[in-house]
Amino acid sequence: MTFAVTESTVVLGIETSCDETAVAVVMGGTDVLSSVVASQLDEHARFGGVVPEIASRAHLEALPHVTVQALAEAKIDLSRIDAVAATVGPGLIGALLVGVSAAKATALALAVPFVGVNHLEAHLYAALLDEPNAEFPLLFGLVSGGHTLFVEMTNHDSYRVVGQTIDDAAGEAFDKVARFLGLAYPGGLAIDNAATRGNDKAINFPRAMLNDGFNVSFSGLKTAVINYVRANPAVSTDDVAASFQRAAVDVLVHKARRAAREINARTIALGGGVAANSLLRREITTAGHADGMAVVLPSREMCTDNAAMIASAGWYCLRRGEVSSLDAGANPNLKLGVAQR
Amino acid sequence: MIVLGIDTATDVVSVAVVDGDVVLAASELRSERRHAEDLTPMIDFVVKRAGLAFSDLAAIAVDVGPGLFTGMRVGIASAQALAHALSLPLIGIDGLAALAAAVPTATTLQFDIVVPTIDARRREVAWATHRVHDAGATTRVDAPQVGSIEDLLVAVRERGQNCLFVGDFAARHRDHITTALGPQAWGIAFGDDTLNWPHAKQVALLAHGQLLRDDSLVDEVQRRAPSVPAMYLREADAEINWATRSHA
Repeated sequence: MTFAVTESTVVLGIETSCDETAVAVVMGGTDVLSSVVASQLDEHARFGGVVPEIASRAHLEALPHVTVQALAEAKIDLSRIDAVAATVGPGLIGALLVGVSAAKATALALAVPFVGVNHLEAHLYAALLDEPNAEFPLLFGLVSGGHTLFVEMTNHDSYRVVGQTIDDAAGEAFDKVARFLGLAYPGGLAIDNAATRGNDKAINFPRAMLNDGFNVSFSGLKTAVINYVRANPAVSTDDVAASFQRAAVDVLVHKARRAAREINARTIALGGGVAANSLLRREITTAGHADGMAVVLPSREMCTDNAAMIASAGWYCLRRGEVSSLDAGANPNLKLGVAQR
Repeated sequence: MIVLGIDTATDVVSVAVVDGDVVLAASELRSERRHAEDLTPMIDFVVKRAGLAFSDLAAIAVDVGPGLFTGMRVGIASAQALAHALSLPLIGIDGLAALAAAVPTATTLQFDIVVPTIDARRREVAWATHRVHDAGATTRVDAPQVGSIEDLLVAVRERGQNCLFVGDFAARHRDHITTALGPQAWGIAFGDDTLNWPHAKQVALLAHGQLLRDDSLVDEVQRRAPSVPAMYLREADAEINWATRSHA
């Protein structure tokens, strides 16, 4: 299928990989006409984590309404949609299939291309929404509840993972520590808030620097926090949150900076829920600028899962001629940089 | 009135277009958990082979379960999206009713009730009792339910009527059911293999019947996002565990 992709090409994006049902309309890859996110937070909160079957059910129920709302907010009709993009992985298989099925059916009915998008790749495009002309080579740090990856990008479709977590994802560590401290779910924002009231030098938690390469580890830090609080039950929760956050951010910034230097990066970009953390945003910006690199951070709402980044990534895929077949499915274990079409 | 029917609630994926009570085109595939991969191209194929454009369709119909949770969601999500994109009414059809409707009237007339059964996994069965009328048509007399094979046998025994079992669960447990019910004043029989799974043909035909009876279904379409609830008949596991713990 040949398909001309221009600045006025309008892509409908659908994201259902985890616990957010999201639909967005994006024109020309970066002009977000609407981005609607229906969170299932309340439905999963009492279980302390995302329950796959509950997530799938909620996606099916919410998706039609979220779609209608996204089109209404973009003030366009479905007939104006030039292509439909959906997350095909990684994520929860049952949840992914709701969005993929709806996206393919919409594309078929409208006689427009369908493009399957890698959720990890899309997080980068969240960062590039505001900085589409960011220069390569680029070090992309994806820091979320499910992933912690440092990726070298020499161009839009060139990914090489240079480092990753060997145990817990960064966001997972934030969530687990928050849960242990009795803070709200999800834990990232709760730690961020508590940390502003605490002393980040109160406790010297270990920084697992793993000097070989660019991998990181958060499991030891999490255990250290738990052991410390058990041994010192009277400790201020705010101090623990602040000291934990400082240790985690130190590790992330140190590793990202070393990796960026290694690949001679012109730009450091972050994506994923942890990229909303205010200390990480401050520290990575300072470090990048000190090394003469541009630092690109998504707006806070674009750090967490959304469909604008899916539509944007879809536009870039289409621009390089990638269209998915209608017999596409979902791949819960999709990796970065592996062709999925 | 041309209706597109979709069925992905069991291991068999099917799509059909019907015009009134005439089936124009249909396709089915035993899908090894590739419902999403198989469905969209099949819709494309069936509509085209019927010589139709999407603009010729008057409504979208979909089997809403019971059956495979992920499977039924693929069908419902697709049907919702098609109905929205094409501004068409969307009609959800009970898969057990579609199974009962597939039995030829020459067959149903030999029975008092038809009991469609769908494997609900975890050694359980989804079923509903359908009564046979004079003309051979069937009407559901109780709400679809899910339970053990013993629950099903109790329900059938209590009725004590000539009963035709259809559906994959009954076919698979034919010997067990026959032995357990034992010799009775009333008889039981099992449908042939063509009646093991619901099919999009019946889904579309039943929807067509509903549209003829109730034209408000057509009027309603512009007013809301088209959606139909899935018929799971069972809470998500976490909900079940949660309820158990909360009441412990």
